[in-house]
Amino acid sequence: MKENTATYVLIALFLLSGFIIKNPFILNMVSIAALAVIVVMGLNLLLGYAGQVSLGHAGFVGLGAYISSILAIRFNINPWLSILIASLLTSVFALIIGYPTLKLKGHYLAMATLAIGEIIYIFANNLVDLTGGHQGLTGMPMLSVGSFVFDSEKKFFFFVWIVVFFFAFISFRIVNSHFGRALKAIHEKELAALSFGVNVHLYKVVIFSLSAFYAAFAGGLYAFYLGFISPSSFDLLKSIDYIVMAFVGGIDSIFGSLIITVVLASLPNIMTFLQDYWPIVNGLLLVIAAMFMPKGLGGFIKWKRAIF
Amino acid sequence: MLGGMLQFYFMSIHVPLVASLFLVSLIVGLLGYIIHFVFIKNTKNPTELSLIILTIGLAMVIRGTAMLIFGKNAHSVGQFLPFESVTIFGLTFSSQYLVVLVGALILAGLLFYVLNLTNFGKVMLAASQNPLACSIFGIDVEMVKSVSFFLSGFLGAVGGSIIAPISFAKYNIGLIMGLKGFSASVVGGFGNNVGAIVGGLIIGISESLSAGYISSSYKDAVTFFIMILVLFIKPSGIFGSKDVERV
Repeated sequence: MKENTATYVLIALFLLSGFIIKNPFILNMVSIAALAVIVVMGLNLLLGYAGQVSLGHAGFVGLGAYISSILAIRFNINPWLSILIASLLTSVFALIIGYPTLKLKGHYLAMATLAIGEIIYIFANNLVDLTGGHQGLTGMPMLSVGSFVFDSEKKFFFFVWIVVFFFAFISFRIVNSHFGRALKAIHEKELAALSFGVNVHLYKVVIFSLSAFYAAFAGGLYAFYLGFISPSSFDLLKSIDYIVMAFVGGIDSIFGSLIITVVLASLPNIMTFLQDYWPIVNGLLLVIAAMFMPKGLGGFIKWKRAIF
Repeated sequence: MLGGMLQFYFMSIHVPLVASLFLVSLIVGLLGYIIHFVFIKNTKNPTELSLIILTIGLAMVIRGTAMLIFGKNAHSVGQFLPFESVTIFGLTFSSQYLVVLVGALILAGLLFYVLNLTNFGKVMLAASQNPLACSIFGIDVEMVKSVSFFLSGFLGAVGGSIIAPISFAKYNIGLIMGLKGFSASVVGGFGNNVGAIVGGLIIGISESLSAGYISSSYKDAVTFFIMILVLFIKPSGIFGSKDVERV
């Protein structure tokens, strides 16, 4: 089976499970996990295809969430439009950050994004007039299409998995395009890619900005779904959570990271008694993954190769 | 972070100051050595990316464990010198600042001596630039790496424990402090001793100024903003050498 078919089938299974699951707690949990899936898919593009780490992805999620909610609350802009504007602004922002840092050899991007994540967190906490500070921001309107309002867990559940499908589709289109193969070449051997005329710097910047778009879009949906956001949802630990999900799932395996993300995003909600141990568990997962399975769990699955 | 926390622990069970400082840095240095020996050496096909991820994971484990053992609260650590404050030229400040200043100067001097003037320092430099060539010349590169892991743990712990009376010991201070160190070396320029000191001064002074003139809640943001600005304008830093390679 090809990886993209398997992924689409898996997403369809999640969609169908919405008909069976009645418990709103589980629906809510899996919807939130689906939002994490979108972020991780974006991060996957960066990790797996550009070979760079972002330690501030939760910051981009937060940027998307805050910008879109502020646009909707203060300026009465349609929620859909404000999510789109916020995502575009965030990706332009990432472009500005990525441009100088990705020019340098080594992992400057990791440090720069770590700093950016902290800056966003500090601003979200302190611009009380705009963001509500650590008490959070409320009052976003509900998402709606015409007179159909996404007001129940179930409606949002179906909607968010359709969005996941859409983003997975984009990811596969990118991966299996000229652009994706060029990125893959950069990851394998940068010098070789360069000598084949691949504009390494430009490609890396574009993929970084795209992954920020994914993150911000998920953030916008998160804000309008919950109707409440606070800085603590976008701190450094969240960024590291996303890295754990992406890396353990497999940095260039969309299928693997989809499964792992749903599992890892749901587990803390089920086993709340283990709350204080999560950083350790996450850390151990990263250590094991980095030491023994550099391609993550997804690396163990042998997909039928697509012949382009 | 670990340096500060362990310092707090040893002082709380009344180990004398010098002994505890020694113990703390030795333990953390050994931890650095063990990390290299157990984890980094045994990593299957290590790439730059997987090693970064590995160290992030280890940092999470250490941080999480420290949180479980010492709790989420900040602990205060007693000052090293018997007197509270010193007055020099009419300026009065906590005596611990003097300890930090002197400690930093001694460590910087020692490091400069070891890295630039001893044979071992030159070997370390060579091993970082071209490990293959070094091993051809009969240098045990793995040993050099182990020692540098020990040294980085050791220095980090000394730094952590002498800053602890000022910053308090808390399970999550390490990362921000590390990032500030990174900012300072970016601003000053990597691989340049003068640059590191000037970068540290620029970062530190701008942090204090922004705390005074803008707001203390934005001081970290200002620091990181300066770092990003330098990356944007002159990625090699103020005293940049050619060590920063462009793609």
